Formats: sequence, structure tokens, C-alpha cells
Amino acid sequence: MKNIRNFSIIAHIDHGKSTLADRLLESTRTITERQMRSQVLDDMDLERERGITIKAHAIRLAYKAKDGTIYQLNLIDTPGHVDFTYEVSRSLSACEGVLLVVDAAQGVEAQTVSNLYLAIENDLEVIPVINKIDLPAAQPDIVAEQIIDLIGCNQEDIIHCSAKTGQGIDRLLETIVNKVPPPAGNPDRPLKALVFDSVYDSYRGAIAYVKIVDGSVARGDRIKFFSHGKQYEVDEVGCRRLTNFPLERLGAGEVGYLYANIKNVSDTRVGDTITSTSDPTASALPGFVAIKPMVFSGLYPAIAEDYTELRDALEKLMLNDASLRFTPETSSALGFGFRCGFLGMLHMEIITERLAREYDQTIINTVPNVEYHAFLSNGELIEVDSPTQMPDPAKIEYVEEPYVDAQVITLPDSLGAIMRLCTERRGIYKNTEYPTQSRAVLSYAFPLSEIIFDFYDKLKSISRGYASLDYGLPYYSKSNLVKLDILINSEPVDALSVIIHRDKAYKYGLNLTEKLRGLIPRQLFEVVIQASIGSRIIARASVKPLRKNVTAKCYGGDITRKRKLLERQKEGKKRLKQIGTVEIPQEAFLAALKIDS
Amino acid sequence: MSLSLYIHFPFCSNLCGYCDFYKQTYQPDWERRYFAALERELTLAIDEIEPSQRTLETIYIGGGTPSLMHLSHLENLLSALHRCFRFASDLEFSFEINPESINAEKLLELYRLGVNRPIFGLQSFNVRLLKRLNRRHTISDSLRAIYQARATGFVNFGIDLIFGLPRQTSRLLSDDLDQAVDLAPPHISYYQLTVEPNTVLADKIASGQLKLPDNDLMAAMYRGIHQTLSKHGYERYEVSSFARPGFACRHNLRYWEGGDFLGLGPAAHSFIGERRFANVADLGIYLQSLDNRTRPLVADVVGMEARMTEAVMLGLRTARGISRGDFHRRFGMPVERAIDGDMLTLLRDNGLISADGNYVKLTDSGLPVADDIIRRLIK
Repeated sequence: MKNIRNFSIIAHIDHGKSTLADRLLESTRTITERQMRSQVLDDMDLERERGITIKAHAIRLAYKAKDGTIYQLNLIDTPGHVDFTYEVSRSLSACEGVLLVVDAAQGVEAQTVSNLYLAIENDLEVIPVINKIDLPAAQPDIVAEQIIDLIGCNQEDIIHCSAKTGQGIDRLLETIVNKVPPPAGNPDRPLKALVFDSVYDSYRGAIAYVKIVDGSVARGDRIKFFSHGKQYEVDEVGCRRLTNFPLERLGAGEVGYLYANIKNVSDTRVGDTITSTSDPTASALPGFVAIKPMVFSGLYPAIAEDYTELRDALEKLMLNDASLRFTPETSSALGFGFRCGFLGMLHMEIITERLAREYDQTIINTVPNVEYHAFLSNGELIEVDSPTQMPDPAKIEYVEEPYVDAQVITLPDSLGAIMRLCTERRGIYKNTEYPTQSRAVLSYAFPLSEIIFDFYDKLKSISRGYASLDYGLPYYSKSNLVKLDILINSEPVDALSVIIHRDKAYKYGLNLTEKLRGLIPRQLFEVVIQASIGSRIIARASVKPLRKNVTAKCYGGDITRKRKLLERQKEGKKRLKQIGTVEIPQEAFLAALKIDS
Repeated sequence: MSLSLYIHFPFCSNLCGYCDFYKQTYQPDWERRYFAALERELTLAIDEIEPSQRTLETIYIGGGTPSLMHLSHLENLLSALHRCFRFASDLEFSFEINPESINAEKLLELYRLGVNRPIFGLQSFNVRLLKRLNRRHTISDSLRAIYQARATGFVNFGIDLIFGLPRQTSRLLSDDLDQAVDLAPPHISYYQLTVEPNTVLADKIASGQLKLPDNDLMAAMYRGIHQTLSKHGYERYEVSSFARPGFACRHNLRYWEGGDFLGLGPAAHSFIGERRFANVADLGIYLQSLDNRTRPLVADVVGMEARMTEAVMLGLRTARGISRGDFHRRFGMPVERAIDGDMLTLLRDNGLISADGNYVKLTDSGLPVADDIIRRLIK
């Protein structure tokens, strides 16, 4: 156990975490150059394309240090997006140390800071690393100042390296061995293992990534999960090199994987504790939370007949994504579909993209929303995760929406523009701190709904890419919210309803009705589009009726041609949604997703 | 039961940028081979037609540019037709003519051969618009051709015009209308320009080089044509067809009322005994196939439901409308079974359709948007 080092890398997106991981694998000869694909740890296509790590993995390296000892290094990868903060915290609790990697040109960013705090809360040894020192724009001295301010280390503790060229990597490996403490478990006590990640394998079921805190586990052992009590027989244990590497047993302090014929990843929840059925440990490891989705959206098949296919696809996705939720939902405009819950917008985008790519599902999704709490006059609490669930305003005493405390880190020169944006987004200003001369940290409380959609992109664009954002877990607070409906020829289109702050409703209604006017084609009858709050109309636009549409010639051959066109149009009708007599193309629903609130 | 005959003449002297009818540049040698094949096709086709049905009510020779043809070929073809068919005593014999390829002599010859309804493709009386359509004739060609037709003794004749041309204004349209009315032909087909895919015109519009009048202007133009022509005694009996009383084109009405017709020549379509079929739209293959004594047919299997769709679609394009009686006789069920009842009610309430009495027909406000109405009515 004394030769085991478990560590993780904390870095902002693009600061070179994956490249550094690759370099460590290569330097320790865990993989050969031939096997080397760039960024081997991210193995999902989507992850590779988006350059972000969605799912954490753990990989084992054998490192022969200068003292001649061979060390077992376990590099635990963490997801790098605010949607996945909980996963990060569990991954970190499997480690004894972290590498704090900062880009020599970009400096410290908000995401890094918040993950660093998670590491410090977990009492982890922090090894500061400045990466990309080979870049022409590198300013290692300034970045070093920021790091010293942040963690209070000494100048000489900071390792300067370039994952790209390999410079500084040897020193880094030595420092890991010397500074990161060995794990502190007890091999003689009953099995106690932390699940810090789980992935679904279509042949073998859910695979749990575990850190053995106490005891050990081997093939054939009977185990059980603390959170749900289900029992399994262990099929295989091992560690990850480039592929799975089966082992006799995983002992205390070790990190590896475990198969036990588990059908569903929702049974291998991140943060859960595994123990032995014959000799169970008394208590679970602390910190397990059943994570709740934060963003909800209706997912509907573009063609009604595809409903069952969509349901099957969602069920399959849920097998390997324990944080995805869905329940059937009906819309008068879109027919049968599902209300789905996601960890955040990125998670939602990933799911819709996977539905398209892996399951060939064309879907229409409704405007995403957070979960609201409506308190009725009779004291009852209604949890509202879809605008249609909002109770009659007359019965509502008040409504609460989720807020988060957020930090925006920026260069001082874009402070004004950023504060204006924050005010637009109903941010409640707390304070500004200047950890260094070139960094300002703004603290705000925001309604979650205002920052999860496009806030981050806006923030990046007004700060020329420098500002970064991070926020914590949500809490509920009172708010002046209304339900805004869209009516087409006086019929409400439920799929276009949103819950919105009263001050923003008017502008939103105006924008959306205008946008719809452009997207709904002229038809036989006038189409009136209205936005309303309760019975009050706040915006109106209309599409004039079509005046001329008739084929000029219809003789011999035209007859067949024309009839076939009609038959094709009849097929196409399935893709049009009908509200009363009005035919609405799918783009109209998609447009609602792109309206500024 | 009688029959209508359509003959497709697939040659033109030049190719117009908007036309997607099947044709190629005229060459005498190809023309000879074409007529030989046509006669061969006739002898093959006649075998499949019930002897009782071998009476021709109407003949229509279209193209292409039939007026380019060498009339000795037509004479031979007619002899062959006479051997196969009885000609009804009131036979309507239409023949399409381009003003630049006709003269008094040729008109007289057509008259002698039995053509009794020449159709002149005038398109417009505006030189610029004609040029934009890549038409070769001049305005004086048009006026001369009509004058000569009258002088030859043709009582029934028609002119074809186009509206909705790129950069055409209401003013330009009304000039065209005035000239058309002055010529006083018994029949006018007034077509809105259709932009067919894969034509020069379609490319120019897609690239923004040319711009069509917008939907509201198109509607106003169509309304103006209807009003002006009504005022001068023309009745609109179909979307694009206007005629003085008694001069509606019987051949075309047969298409719209579900009558049988035989089509000869490349790309020609037939509808016989509730069966649709067509010749391939390729002169080379057509000739080759008939050299081997087979008709180059492509059958289009049209089920009952599709035929009902056609009946609704075609019926609603005519002023008379869908005859409830005819529909019931053909399909054994009322027309309401083929259309969406709720939509029908809604359209009637909005004054777009009338469904009282023996006919279901579009009103003057309904006809200009017939395509949308038909699309939404069809079940």
C-alpha cells in the first residue's frame, strides 16, 4: 500500500489535462507510442469532438522512481464541466492528491478554482503545475503569482512543464511519488469500497470504478451496495491500462474496476459504498447523494409513429447514464413524448445528440426549464418541472425558483460589460475580490434558469474568452414568475409555453410571436399568433392568408406527377404539427429554443 | 365508349428556358424515323383497344412544336389513323402552332387535313418578356398568324398566354390582356409561369438573377385576368382555361373528367380502362423499342384510392366541379368518402368551396388557392 499513489488532475477545459494524461501514460510506458491516440482517456466520440471529458475513468501506471522502487500510480480522470460537479467531488474523494494544472497563457479560471476547493475540502495534497510553457504567449511568472495567491505555496513548489514537448514530465512524476501520500486504509478490516464512476458495457452490464478503502475484493466474492442493498457475485476485478487488465484481487488503497453482472448503471450510483455480504462494514462512506436533474425539457418524436422507438432509445441510454430521467408526457401540439430531466444543458445536448447519432431519432425538444416550487394558498407545495404543470395563478400563494451562488472570474477590463450582463440576468450582486491585480472575482446570486442556457457563451464573447463561471448547488428562493402562453388562432400551444420572470415576459412574447410569424407559412386562412399571460394578451402577430397557389397546367402526364406530389405531401403532413386548422412546421418549435430571454 | 388521342411531337427549333416538356432540336432525318415509329406504335396500340372503343372524339397534337412538322408525314399518319379508328362526326382536332413556324399555305394544308382547332403559342405581346422566355417569334408574327387563321376559315382556335413572368408588372399584364381581347380568339389558355426544376429559368431564379412577382401580385394578376376576360364574354371553365360559350376544349375536359385517352409518341401518357401508362421520355429509346416492335411503356399502377384522389384533384380544378353522380358511378361511393369532412365544412364556412346540389366546386376565391385546398381536403 505504501507504494500506491492515487491522484487526479484539476484543470480548466483546454488547459491541457488530456494531453498531460497522455504524456504520463507514455512516459511510464503504460502505452506505447503506437497505441497512442491523442487524448486516450476520452473514448466517446462526442467527448473527443467537444474536447471535454464527460465520463471519468481511472488508469493505472507503473512508475519506476529514481529510488528504484516501482510505484503504482492511479490517475483518476474527472469530468471538466459544471454540469458534473458531483461526479468530480466523488472522483476526488478517491484520491490522496491532485495536480492543479494551469495554462501558462490563460491563467487561473473559475472552474479550476471551484474544483481546487473541492480538493482542499477533501484534504488532498495539491501539486501546482504550469502547463504549456512552450507557448509563445506563455507568462509563467504571472501565472505562478496567481497560483501562489490561490494556494499559498512557494515559487519552487510549482512545476513548469509542457505536456506537448514532454519538458518537466520527469520532475512531475518524481514529485507525485514524493508528495502524494499513500492511501490510508486498513487491509484487515471488512471490505469498504467507493464507487466513483460507472459505465455501461453492452455485453457485461454496468462496470463500477472503485477505490478500495478497507479490505479487499476478489472474483467470486459476494458484495452488496449500501444505497439499495442489492447483492451480486463479483465476476471480475482488475485495473485499466489501455484496456481492461484483470487482477486476482483489488486490495486496500487500490483503484480499479469491478464487474458483477449488474444490469443497470442506476444500480452502480456514483458515491455509493460496496461491502461484503458475509462480513459487512458498519457504515457507508460519507458524501453519497442521489443526484437530481436540474434542467427539464419535453422530447417528442418528429413523427408520432416513432414514439416507441424513442422510448426504447431513452431506456437504453438510461442503462449507462444514471442521471438521466424521463416520464411520459402528452402535448396537444406535439402528441406523445417524454419529459426528461438532465444535469444541465450540456448533458441535455449530449443526450439529444446521442439520440440522433446512435439511435437515429429526430426529435423536437421544448424550451428547457428548471424545476419551480409553487406554494398554494392551502400550503401545498407543487413541484413544477414543465410549464403545463403550473397551477392556476388564482390558487398560488407564491412561487420559488432555484438560485445558485456563482463566481465569475475575469480580467478587470471587461468588468463593466460583465456586470451589465449579470444584471440583465437578474443577478444579485454580492461583492468583487481581486486575488491578483489582473483577476477580479465577482460573486453573484443568480436564478439558475438565467445562467444555464446561454449565459456562459455570452460571458465568453463579451470578455473575449477570458471570463469563466462556476456555481454551486441550487437553493430555492421566492420570485415573481408568470406562465407565458402562445396562442395560435386562439388555441394555446402547450409546447411553446414557458415560465418566465414577469419583467422579461413582454419582450420574450414580442420576440417569439415575431419569429413565429416568419416561420409559419401562409395558409388558406389568416393565422393569428398571440402571447398571453393568463387572459391578458401581451403580443400579437399575424400571417396573412395565401392568395395564389394553384398549378397552372394539369394534362396527361401532369396528372400522375401531381397526384404523386399529393401523396408525398400526405406523408409530409406527418411532420407538420396541427393546431386547429393551422399547420405548423417543426422549425417553429425549434425557433423557440433560440429566443433570448 | 369513345376515345381521345394525344400525339406528342418532340421537336422544337430552339429550346425555351422555362419549358420542361420532352423535346429536342428539330432534324428532318429524326422526324422521318419518328413518324415511322409512331405508325408502328399505333398498330401495336390498337390491338389493346376494344373494337367498341375505336371512335375518336378528339385528337390533340402537342409538343414540342408540331407546326415544325412536314405535313406529308401528318397526311400519312392520318391515313393510318383512319384505318384504325372511326372519326366522330363532330371530331375536335387541335394542333399546336408557334407563330414563327407557320404561314398561310401551311394553315390551309392543316385545314384540308381536318385540323379544326389550331392553338397558337403566343405567350405575350411584349417583346422584352418574350425575349426573357427565349421565344423566337415577334409580335407581328403573332398577329399575322391569327389573321391568317381567320382568313383560312378556322372558326375555333385558341391562343396560349403566360403571366407571372419575371419583372412583369400589373401594367404590362394589362397591355397583354388588351391585345388578347382585341384579337378576340374563341379560346384563351392563360397560364401562370411554372418554374420547373432543372430549367434555365429555375437556375436564374435560384441565383437571384431573376425575380418572380410575389404571391400577392400573382393573385392580383390572376384576378385581373379573370375579371377582364369575363367582361369580354369568356367563361373560366378551368383554372387556366377561358372560352367563349361553346368553345371549351373538349379534349382537355376529358382529362379532367376521367375520360379515356390514348397517348402516342415519346413521353405521351395514356389512361384507358382506369389504367395509366406512359411512354419513356427519350426519343432514342422510343425509336429503338419500336424497331423491335414493342411499346416503351412504363405502367403506373393506380389503385382505387389514388384514382379517387385524382378525381377530386382534377374535378376541383374545373368550374363545374366534381359531379357527385359521376363520382358515385365510377367509385360506388359518395365523394364525401374521399375528402375530409371537417375541412370541407371549414372551407365552406369561409366561402372557398360550395358543396350544395350536384357538384362540389371551388368558388372564385377558392380556385386561386386550389392546390392548398386539394392538399388539405384529400384524406
